[in-house]
Amino acid sequence: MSDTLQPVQISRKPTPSRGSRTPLTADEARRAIRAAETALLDERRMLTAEELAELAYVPDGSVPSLASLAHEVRLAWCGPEVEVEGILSAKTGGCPEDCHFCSQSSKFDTVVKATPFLDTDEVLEAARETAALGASEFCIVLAVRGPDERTMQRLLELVPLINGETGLNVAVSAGILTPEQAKRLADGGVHRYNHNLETAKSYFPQVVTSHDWTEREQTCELVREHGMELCCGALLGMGESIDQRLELLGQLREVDPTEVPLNFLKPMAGTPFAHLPAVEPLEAIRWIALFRIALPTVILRYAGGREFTLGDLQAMGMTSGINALIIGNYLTYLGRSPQEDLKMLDDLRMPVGLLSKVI
Amino acid sequence: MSNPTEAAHCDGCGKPSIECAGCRWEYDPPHYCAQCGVRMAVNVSPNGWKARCKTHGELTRLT
Ligand code: SF4
Ligand SMILES: [Zn+2]
Ligand SMILES: [Zn+2]
Repeated sequence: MSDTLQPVQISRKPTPSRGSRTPLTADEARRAIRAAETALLDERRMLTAEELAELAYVPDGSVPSLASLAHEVRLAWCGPEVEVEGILSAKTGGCPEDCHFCSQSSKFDTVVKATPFLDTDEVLEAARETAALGASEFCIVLAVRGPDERTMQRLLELVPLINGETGLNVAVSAGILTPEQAKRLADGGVHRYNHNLETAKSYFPQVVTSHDWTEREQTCELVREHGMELCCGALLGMGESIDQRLELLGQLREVDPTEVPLNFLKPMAGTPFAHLPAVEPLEAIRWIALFRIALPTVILRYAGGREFTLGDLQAMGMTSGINALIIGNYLTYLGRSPQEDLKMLDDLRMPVGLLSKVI
Repeated sequence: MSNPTEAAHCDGCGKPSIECAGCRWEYDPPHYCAQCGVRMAVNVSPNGWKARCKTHGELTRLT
């Protein structure tokens, strides 16, 4: 670790959102939102790519209306329940990949020091902590390109143990899979497998060079083929344009995940994206709403970066289309207290519950 | 935040306290030992964190 590492300055400068269209007027926005409401709630059909693109360009003043539509869509398509999940980085740092946002890559000089796979007892303890918080899902996350045989064996040992002891559904995030590995994990009781697309195919080479977007897409397909639920998320705020966010939404529709964790970039010191500005809170709300409107059936989860990006607006995300959250801490940094999140859900009269995809 | 009156080093960046008054974001666990300024191995779990310095041992905290 060098001693030249500079702390990241938390920037609140608005993210310049680059787009190819002119923003709608307030009247045009009202009409577009009304048309989307008819499509999604009365006709109960998905919006076309063109309809979605129009909504991405409503002016800031129309974002609360867009969010309100997204909330109605979520209630109508998914119900009022919120799914709560805990995550654990069971093998931290030292990853050979070069995802430019990630403090766990061995390619960058960051504060994260690599640590080996946690002991079974430590993982079980974290699962118990998660169950005690009222969660239904526990995700074991590993900083790897893909699992080696030793890792596979550890996972296959841990999954039934955790499920048996805590009753939690167990999810795994261990990178790129082979068909054989996907089958073994599915047979071993993995309920959901996380593998994020992160960003649009056209922007991916700006974010990762050590593997390509197609490899990610293939793993997503394998997960579904072998009968695990697919958790496939996005990370916004890496310099992608509005059109690339829309492109990503189209690509997410194609991989058809059960769950979409929505992350916002928290710039990490030492990574190539350390100096990118934070996504503005209202911009984050706009995109939470657009994700819900584009993907009405998915479990849309608040994931990393919400404390950093949304600050005091976190409750607003819950009425803009979010219906799941990660409770407690994240992989390498902390979350706000579980009590605050549970109180927020209680105040909003949103019951904690189990969700699976509505077909 | 590390307290410069007690800690010899900032636990966010490892610099001597005289050079950094504490730069750790409220949602970051400490990454450097406040006594010797060396980078620690940190494990975060849903309700806490554990940080180990080779010389000064382990620090755990429930969050
Ligand atoms: S594969 Fe995962 S752990 Fe590795 S650098 Fe990319 S995001 Fe980080
Ligand atoms: Zn510092
Ligand atoms: Zn020390």
